[in-house]
Amino acid sequence: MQKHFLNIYTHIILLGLGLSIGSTAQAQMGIGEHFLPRLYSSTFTNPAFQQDSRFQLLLGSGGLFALHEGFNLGDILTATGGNTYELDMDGAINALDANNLLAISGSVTGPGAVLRIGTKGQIGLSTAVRTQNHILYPKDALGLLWRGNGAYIGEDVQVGPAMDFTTFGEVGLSFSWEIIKQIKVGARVKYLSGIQHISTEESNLTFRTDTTIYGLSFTSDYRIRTSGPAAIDPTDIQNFDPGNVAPSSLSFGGNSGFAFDLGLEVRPMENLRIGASIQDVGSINWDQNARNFHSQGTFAYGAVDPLKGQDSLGEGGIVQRLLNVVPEGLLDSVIGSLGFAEEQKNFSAPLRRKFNVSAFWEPIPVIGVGAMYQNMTIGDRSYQLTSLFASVKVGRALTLGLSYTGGMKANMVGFHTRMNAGPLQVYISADNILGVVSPLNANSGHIRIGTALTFGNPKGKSGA
Amino acid sequence: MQPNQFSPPTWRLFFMTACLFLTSCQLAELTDQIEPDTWEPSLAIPVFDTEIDLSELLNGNPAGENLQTENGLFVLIYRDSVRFEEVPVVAFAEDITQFVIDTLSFIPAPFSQGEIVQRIVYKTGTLDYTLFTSLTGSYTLEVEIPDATQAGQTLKGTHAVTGPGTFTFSLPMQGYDLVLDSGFFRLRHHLYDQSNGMEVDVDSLEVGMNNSSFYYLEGLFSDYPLNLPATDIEIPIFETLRADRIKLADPELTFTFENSFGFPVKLQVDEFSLFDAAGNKRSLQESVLSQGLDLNYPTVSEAGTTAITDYTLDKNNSNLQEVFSVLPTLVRYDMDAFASGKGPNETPIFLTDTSDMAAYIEMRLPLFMETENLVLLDTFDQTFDWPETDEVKNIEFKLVSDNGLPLDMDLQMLFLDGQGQVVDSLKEGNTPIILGANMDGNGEVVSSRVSNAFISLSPDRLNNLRQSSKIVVKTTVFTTDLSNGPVKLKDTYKLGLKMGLKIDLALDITD
Repeated sequence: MQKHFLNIYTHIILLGLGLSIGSTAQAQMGIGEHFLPRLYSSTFTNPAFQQDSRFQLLLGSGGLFALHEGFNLGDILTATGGNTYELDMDGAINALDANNLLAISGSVTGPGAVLRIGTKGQIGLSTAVRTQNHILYPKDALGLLWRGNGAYIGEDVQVGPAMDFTTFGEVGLSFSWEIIKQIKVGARVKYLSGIQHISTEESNLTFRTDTTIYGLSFTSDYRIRTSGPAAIDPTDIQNFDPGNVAPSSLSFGGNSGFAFDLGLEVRPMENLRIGASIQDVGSINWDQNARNFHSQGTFAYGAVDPLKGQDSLGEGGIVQRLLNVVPEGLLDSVIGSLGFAEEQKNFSAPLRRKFNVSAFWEPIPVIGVGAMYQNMTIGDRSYQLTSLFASVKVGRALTLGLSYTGGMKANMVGFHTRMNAGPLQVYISADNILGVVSPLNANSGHIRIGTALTFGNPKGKSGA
Repeated sequence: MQPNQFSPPTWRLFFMTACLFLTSCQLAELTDQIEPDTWEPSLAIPVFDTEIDLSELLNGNPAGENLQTENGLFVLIYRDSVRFEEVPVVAFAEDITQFVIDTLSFIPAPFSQGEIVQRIVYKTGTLDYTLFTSLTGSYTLEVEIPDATQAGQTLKGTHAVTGPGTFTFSLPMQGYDLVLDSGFFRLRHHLYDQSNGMEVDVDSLEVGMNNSSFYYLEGLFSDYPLNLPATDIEIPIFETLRADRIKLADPELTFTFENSFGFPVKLQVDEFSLFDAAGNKRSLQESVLSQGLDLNYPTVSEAGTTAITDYTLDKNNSNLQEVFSVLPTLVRYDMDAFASGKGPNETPIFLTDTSDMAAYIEMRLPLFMETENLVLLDTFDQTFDWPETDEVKNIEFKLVSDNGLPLDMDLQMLFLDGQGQVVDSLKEGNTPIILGANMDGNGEVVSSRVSNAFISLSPDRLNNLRQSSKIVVKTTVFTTDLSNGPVKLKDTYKLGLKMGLKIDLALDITD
């Protein structure tokens, strides 16, 4: 039992480390997509943006964004010379905030298309499957996992992670219109189809190890909501078998919702573009296998009484009987003791909202510089990012860009490239190239790769 | 070349950019370069929490039913009894035969040991007589013992005979109360001629008393020794105990004699010895039983009743406290009794066929005691699933006791290998880890006392434990506050025991 117990801890820790490593390899906030010229996907960040080509067919794109607000590998591992690193998990944990964000999101878009209407308008159709996942974990929860509860005897330890794992599909219809020469407005309406969802509505969970004989207890007001074709029971997650979920059930299913994006572009000068947008205002109504699990109260796992109900001490006497007590099934008992009550109840969950303000200026035709402010709402918290961007066009076929982004405890240098070969357009955008160059010191990562076909590019038009 | 068409330098630049991302694959090798590569969590879990009162603790002990409570105080009580192996026959009834000639004859009592029997109630026996007559004709023979009566009727036989001839008759004497005068009783006989009613002389009459036994016998008899068998009393509860010192505050040994014989008996203890488990012997020393104890007995007027004599030995009239300090596992005693055939001032005594004498011994050992280093041993197989030592830095047990017993206790475990050799122990020393309750001056518990004890198992010790095949649990007990005298062990006293376990691990994170 104990081995099993420890293995669970091991896997959780290694999963955390793995995510941290993984996040440095694949990084995003969407800066490159926003600023690179002639990219269809720029309309995702601001639906007011219009393409300079008559028609673009998005063949597909895929991207991942990962961020660990707490620490990076460099905080955990210190090079000691040679090829070895000293592990300092305690130091990394000590440096954590009270609550720390671990977020991973990704999307696969396409096919889609955008069509210019006359000289003022643009309509677009987009499809995507997106996944947005985050855990907001308390500092002491990770400390408890790493150090064990023996390091927290007599302390109330906040362990309840707030989480939101949402995967959904969307079909979007966008429209952009030039009101006057200097101002464009745009909107995208998106039909959403929820695929799978797990989130916490309440996440108050305190763990305590009593000082007397280390009795364990939870004080909880913790509510988990799940929905989707996989009827997940988070209180029995170890027995969940993804293989039992039919792939066909993951397609557009019984959870629907709507969302919209709004955008504004202002061009006070021909070579200066100022944009503002708000994305993903909407929610999904989760109906399919909707389950609510609520634990509220104080739940204790005390010691067993080996003598209770015994007519006699039996052969061997009290000492042997007491020593025969082995904390079998301790972890199961502790989790089981949380007393989750299940309720079948539909619910609505909002998308992760994002607000952008940006400016892009081309002092000369081949050089562009930009700045961007982003505000993301994750759970009940807001995160801010500020980015600077510079790009250079190498002929009409290639654009290279660099970016710097600060915020969310990260300093990120991004690298972006777009290339056209005839109608074929390919782009790669990474918002944190430092994570590739120096993976030990990266807290976040993003990468998006996409390809499209563009037609009717007017000569002499600048990109963005 | 058109500016928006494919050009090799452009592609190279693009692919170089893409390849930058592959450097992150190097991270996969990091786990092999991390030092220290251990994860050292400390886990703390509760193990048990229980409460047991002294009754439960002692339930199933070797004393069994011998452990009782009196007003809540535990008392070890051992009882034994002895009876006479044979009924003491202080007078023997014999078969007698004699010829009588006179119509009134005085027949001696059927005893020949010098007894002066004054009264007999027959249980069995017959009066047998044989008439020889040479006369011809029909006659009636009458034989009577006027001193033998039953329900107001004398013992009398009337028989018709036709002579000449020899005629034998028998009269049962069961139930007849025969009163003797100076050891003789009277017997009359007559022979009548039926034709005229005239008494005629008998030629010869032979009278006998045979197969006599009695319900009751009264008179003056000879003295008679009564042998009681030697007896052992086993006290198994002490077989597993060892103590440097033990002192029972109030041991008692009570003798109760039941005597329904109507004569004086003097009882004398020849031996009263106690043996400990090693066979060492200590003898009881007192002045009364060794000199002889006169037992009560019923007088003639109290015939049929049982007289009781009680005698108690304690710390005041014997060395009982001392002899029990050896934790005896065996008590052996041997007693003799001497019956007197006469009462005081030559007064008659009696006995009946149901007269009985028994000696009852009750050994009462109230657990009101002092002790030092009282050791209880228990052995069982080591079958626990202890964790692998290479993953364990240390194990620490925390034992929390809430002790309402007036006993300080230490717990030691000895780990034995297959050859029975001690390979390690749980801890060093024998300092009590469970402190006894708070006491008043009368040996009573006032309140329980909480103690915390920490016992650590290093990997080496844990390894020894895992490799052991048996565990000997050695519990060492001291009565609380020894300087304040004895303490009482009561059934309501409770011992609360809680244990938590803290285990420091060292796990290989690359495993």
